[in-house]
Amino acid sequence: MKKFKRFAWPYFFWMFVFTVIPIFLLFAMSFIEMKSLNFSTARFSFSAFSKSFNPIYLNAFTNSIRLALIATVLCIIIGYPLAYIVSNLNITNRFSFLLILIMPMFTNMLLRVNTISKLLKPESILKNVLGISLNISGSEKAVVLVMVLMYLPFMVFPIFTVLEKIDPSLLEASRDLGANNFKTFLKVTLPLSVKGISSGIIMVFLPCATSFTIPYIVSDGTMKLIGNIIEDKMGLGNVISTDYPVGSLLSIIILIAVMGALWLISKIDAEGETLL
Amino acid sequence: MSRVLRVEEPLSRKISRRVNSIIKFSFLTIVILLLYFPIIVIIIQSVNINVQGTYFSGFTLEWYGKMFGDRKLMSAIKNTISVALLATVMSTVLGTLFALGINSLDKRRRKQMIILNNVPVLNADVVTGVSLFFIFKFFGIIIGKEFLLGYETMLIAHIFFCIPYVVLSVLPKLNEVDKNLYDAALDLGCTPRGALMKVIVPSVRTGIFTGALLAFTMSFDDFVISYLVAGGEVKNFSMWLYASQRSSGRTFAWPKAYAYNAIISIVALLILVVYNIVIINKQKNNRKVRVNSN
Repeated sequence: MKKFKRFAWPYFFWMFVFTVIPIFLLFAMSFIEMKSLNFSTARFSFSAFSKSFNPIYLNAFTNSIRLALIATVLCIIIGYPLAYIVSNLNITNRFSFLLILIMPMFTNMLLRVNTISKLLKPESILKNVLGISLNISGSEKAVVLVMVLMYLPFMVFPIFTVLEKIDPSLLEASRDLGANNFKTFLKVTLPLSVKGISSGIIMVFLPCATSFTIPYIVSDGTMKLIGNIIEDKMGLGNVISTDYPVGSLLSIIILIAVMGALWLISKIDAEGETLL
Repeated sequence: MSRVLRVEEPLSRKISRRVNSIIKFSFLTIVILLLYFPIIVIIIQSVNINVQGTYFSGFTLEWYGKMFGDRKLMSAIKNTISVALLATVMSTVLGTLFALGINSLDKRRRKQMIILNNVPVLNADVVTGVSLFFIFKFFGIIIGKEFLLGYETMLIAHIFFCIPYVVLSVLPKLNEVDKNLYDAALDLGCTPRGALMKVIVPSVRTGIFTGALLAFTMSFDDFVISYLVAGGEVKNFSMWLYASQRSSGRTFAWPKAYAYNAIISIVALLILVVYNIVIINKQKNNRKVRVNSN
């Protein structure tokens, strides 16, 4: 099998081109000043840094982190019991359970977000058919609710993967040694599932904190989280707010957080088995 | 046959077990219902006469017809499906080969490659999209083509973010494969390619299948990265939907989007049901074979 080594080099080259070089590019871009993407006007400057100390951006950062944290905690509270119950069920095929969770993802995420956010408006089909009016449209509650509904599967998958791998004889041993069910869970199952929980936290927190579609759709464009600001700066929303250096700098800040997550994953799960 | 000693369970424990299982079952049902709730609403809205979707004013199949008549929507759907299929095939083949490569590296290199592989998995979609956008822009400047962004860049981007998922699902399976199998196949007269196709690939096929499924799901549902790298002209379904969200006058777009997604969800559900029936039948057959052989 040693001769398959030659397949690793093209992948290294490919990843170098598409991940390592862009990181350097983004880094370099945050130290220049230029008009749109016209490199002839580019010159060295720290203006991106001074512009980024804008209270609007800082606010967007803290809001993103706060909302994503709440969503992540809710995902653990719902997702852990879900994975635990299913891993104890006597289903012979674990794949079909995963399919049940993957299935909703085939329906377009933007449309699902939109459908939910329409249900949260005071006048919705919910009120018409069931007589319930939720009326939390556009609020932070609504954003968190949508985040939880969208990213819950990403919390369940890694936890389920580690729970599946726990050797049942360990649990039997714990009971034989006199621990009751609750103590067994606390002393055996929970420590063994830390790996899955950490992966789940990363897989939910990062996309929630950087999402720009969810806040945009749920709040009809009024709520600006960090993802929305990067999108604005990268010249897709409107031309006036375009500012590539600031967008690059904000992306670099997110990348630093991602690097931390990468480091953590490489410590707890070197093979990346819980990332699926 | 071993004899099992049965002790009558006390009634209180029986009741608590029953209550426990009821709680578990209702929790499962509620969560799965919540996850499927938007899909149910989408299916209802796709047959709703009311354009705004705030009232249910009657049943109609009109939107399904209109959906097939909308040329922009149909081209977006075509892009979504063709990119997803091409990206799935390409990333599955490449990802499997790359996983083979990573698997044969020594421990330290292997760890480094896995970290590099995980970058697109963990990275924020916005940042991945922006990175690819810059790379394509610079490449365009280098080769002297100002407007490089389009269908091809979208496809490359999709292949790029799908490969890591394939690698991650194939690697653990490769780890389980006996290292001597490949050499044995060579000794028995297989060509290297034959040994790869007839010995290695079949023994990791569940990993390849999982990877392909994940790749397809990711590509099919992607919005952010496509939006950043496809330029303005070429659109997939998500981009079409986002554009109609931004221009407020296009409420007429929504029922067609509901219709398209209702079709997708129903097809996916059917596949899920058929798959489960096949699996259950297989297990029944296996059991029969086992009983017969006893």
